[in-house]
Amino acid sequence: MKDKKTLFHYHLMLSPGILLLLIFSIIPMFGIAMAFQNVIPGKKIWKQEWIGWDNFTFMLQIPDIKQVVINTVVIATMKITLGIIIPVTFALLLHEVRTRWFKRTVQTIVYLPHFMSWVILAGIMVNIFSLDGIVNQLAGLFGVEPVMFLASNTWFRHIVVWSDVWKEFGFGTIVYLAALTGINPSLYEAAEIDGANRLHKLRYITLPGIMPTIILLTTLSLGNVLNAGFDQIFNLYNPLVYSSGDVIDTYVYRLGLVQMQYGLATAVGLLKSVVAIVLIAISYRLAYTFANYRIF
Amino acid sequence: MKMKWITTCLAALTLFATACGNSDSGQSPDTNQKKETEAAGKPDSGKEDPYGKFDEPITLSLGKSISTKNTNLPNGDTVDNNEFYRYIEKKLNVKVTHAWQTETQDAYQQKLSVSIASQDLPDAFIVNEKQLKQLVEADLIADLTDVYDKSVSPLIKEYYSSFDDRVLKRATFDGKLMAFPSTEIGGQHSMTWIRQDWLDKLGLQPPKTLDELFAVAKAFTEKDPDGNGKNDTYGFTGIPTLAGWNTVSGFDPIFGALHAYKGQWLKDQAGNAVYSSTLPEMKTALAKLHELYTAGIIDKEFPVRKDSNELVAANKVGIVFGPWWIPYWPLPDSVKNDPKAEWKPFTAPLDAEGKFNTYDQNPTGSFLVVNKDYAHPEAVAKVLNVSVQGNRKLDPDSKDIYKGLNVSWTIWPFNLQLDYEDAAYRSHLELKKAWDAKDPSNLNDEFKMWYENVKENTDNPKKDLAAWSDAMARMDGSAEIDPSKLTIIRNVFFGQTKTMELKWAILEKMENETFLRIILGEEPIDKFDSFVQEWKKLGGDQITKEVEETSKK
Repeated sequence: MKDKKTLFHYHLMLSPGILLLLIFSIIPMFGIAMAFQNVIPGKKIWKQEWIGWDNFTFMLQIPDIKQVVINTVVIATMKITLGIIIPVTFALLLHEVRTRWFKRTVQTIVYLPHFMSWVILAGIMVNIFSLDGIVNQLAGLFGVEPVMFLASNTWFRHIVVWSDVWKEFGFGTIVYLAALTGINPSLYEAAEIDGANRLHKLRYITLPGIMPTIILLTTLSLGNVLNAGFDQIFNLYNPLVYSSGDVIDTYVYRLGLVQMQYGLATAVGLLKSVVAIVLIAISYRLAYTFANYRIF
Repeated sequence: MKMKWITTCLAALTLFATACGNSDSGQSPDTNQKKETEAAGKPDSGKEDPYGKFDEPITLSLGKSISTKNTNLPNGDTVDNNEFYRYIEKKLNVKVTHAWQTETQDAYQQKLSVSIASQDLPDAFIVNEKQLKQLVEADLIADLTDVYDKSVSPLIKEYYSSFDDRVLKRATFDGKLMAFPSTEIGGQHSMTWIRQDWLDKLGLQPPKTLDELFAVAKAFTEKDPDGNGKNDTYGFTGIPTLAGWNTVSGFDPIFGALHAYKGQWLKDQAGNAVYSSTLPEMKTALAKLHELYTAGIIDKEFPVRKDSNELVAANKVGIVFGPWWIPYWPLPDSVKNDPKAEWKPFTAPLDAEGKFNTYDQNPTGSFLVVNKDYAHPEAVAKVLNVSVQGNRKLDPDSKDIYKGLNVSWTIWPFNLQLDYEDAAYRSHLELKKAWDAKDPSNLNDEFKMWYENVKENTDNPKKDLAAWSDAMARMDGSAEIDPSKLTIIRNVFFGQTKTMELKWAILEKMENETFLRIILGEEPIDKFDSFVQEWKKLGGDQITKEVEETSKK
């Protein structure tokens, strides 16, 4: 038990975070009321008409809702799984590289796309995947008929998922590399004396060493299972691929914001948050049970 | 021990913050500030002079979307302090200020949403139809019925009456006029622009009927009109939404020739409201488009293109459907990249009876509203009167303001388009009269500039692209919007009904998806019939009933 004096500056350091949390997360909670109201902009929030669960029942009656939820979950799950596997693999491979300048350069190159906006990248994607784009030209060399990728429900999800993985994996890699540098080198030396080869070291030292980081990031990313990435899909899709690529966010955008249905949009957002917190709670529980790992 | 300390801290913080959060949403303090400006200037009673000056100075604060970049304003003038505003102050004794301004329309909408939600509104501002309804419902704006009668100038009333009651009706709620609506000028329908040089090269005549148009499009696709030896040209491209007035590359002229209209509310034979996308003519038109798509005459990738104008600029298409103004955009890009390009507008294709069919467009889109708490709603009307008079150079005092500096009319306080319904064609006639008489002396500045440009382009064709744009749009393009050349189908309804607010996004999604799939051949033509059934079931019938009721009012 330390005395209060030494604790005080820790709290001081914590205060900006708490303040931000208050301003941007706690206070806006009052807006949740809109999910149960027929919102007319211009009226005070407590003068709006209360309509109970109407927004939610309407949401469930929407004919496309099943398709939209399925699209969302499928795309998001693909993104989350690949978004763990690929950065971890890449970080482990890069970790084995001995040449420092090469390691640095590769790191920088792979995480650059993270800083580009989807508005720009979507324009590039449309060109790459167009009928006379580079992909079709390469396929044409092997005598394959050109495909309209962005108008095809078979291809659209793959384009969305893989282009997102390409954009973000470099950034994930950085996090895992940081965790890898935190592993005590004397462990490796001891293992070498015991006759461990590279694979042994990977399996018994490196992986367990970054396991907490992997579990933490996985747990956190599960909250995104209903977020399939609005700005990416919004910039890539068109009516032809609604049936495979229209996700909750793009649908709510067309329904809620273009038509100014704030109550409905809030209801959908609230439902997403509820699902997310349940999933995070479950995965946290699982992480504790199986990996004996806790964040707090 | 320490846990206790933290929780107390947190609890205190939370309470403090929530108190803050609520304090600014109770009594709004700005009503008191308004009172200060109200005591001044009671206007003369009785019938008012719409241009009459107030005895005492009064202020008028606006919320406005205006870009401060490239305004061409001289010697340090700004968007809220310039000759226009000083002219108004001199004429009326009204000082116009900006409560806030945004650079873009998007930002304006966001700022406005926040303003409406927090009820902190400027004295006067411009809203869209949806916001107007919400403001009326929330009872935040003034009833302008009397103001319109007493203070609006005869000229503006004339503009409105050129639309009968189609414009004012839209801002009238329970017999009260709640806003001054904008007037969207007519003649913004798509016509058919064709590369005359390609026609000449292939020895073709300009098409009149639909079949001739398709024959031309086919030739443009297959006969290598640009002579580069590659099979890389199309008849025309399209847009994912397929059609719409004031858009480029919609299929409207083709639809019109087949008596099909996309997304309009029309009267059927029995005089009942009907949604045009669900009529059998639409099925025929979609079948036709499917045929063309399969034949490779329509750009294969039109549904996924983010910008249909790429093809126009790259000179890969010989036909562009678009309004009279497309020589301003995107056609200049085409001419820039290929100086041989000779674009000509045609009122074609015609239907079996030799008519060119189009539909009327929404005659209004934005609404000038006045804050309920503002003491001088008549000042808003007067500022509007004086602005229009000044902008149209009808007042000798306004003639020389910013002469020759090319300052946008949007710098005037209200970005509210007001004009006669046939304004574009009227301007064309005036310009043509002067051109035919070779005498520009009676023209005002704007027309003089067009005249000069037409002359410039006649002497040196396509040397100066800006001159080419003016000449093509104001002479050739506008000549085609002669009302006597058109058969205009009238909508019975614009805007949104109650059920539409909930279900339109759903129905629209279905319509766009189904139509595109039929054209691309992913669904059989008969899918159209099940689409109509589904559309009716999912709220279409209900909406049609509501439109029927509204239009009968």
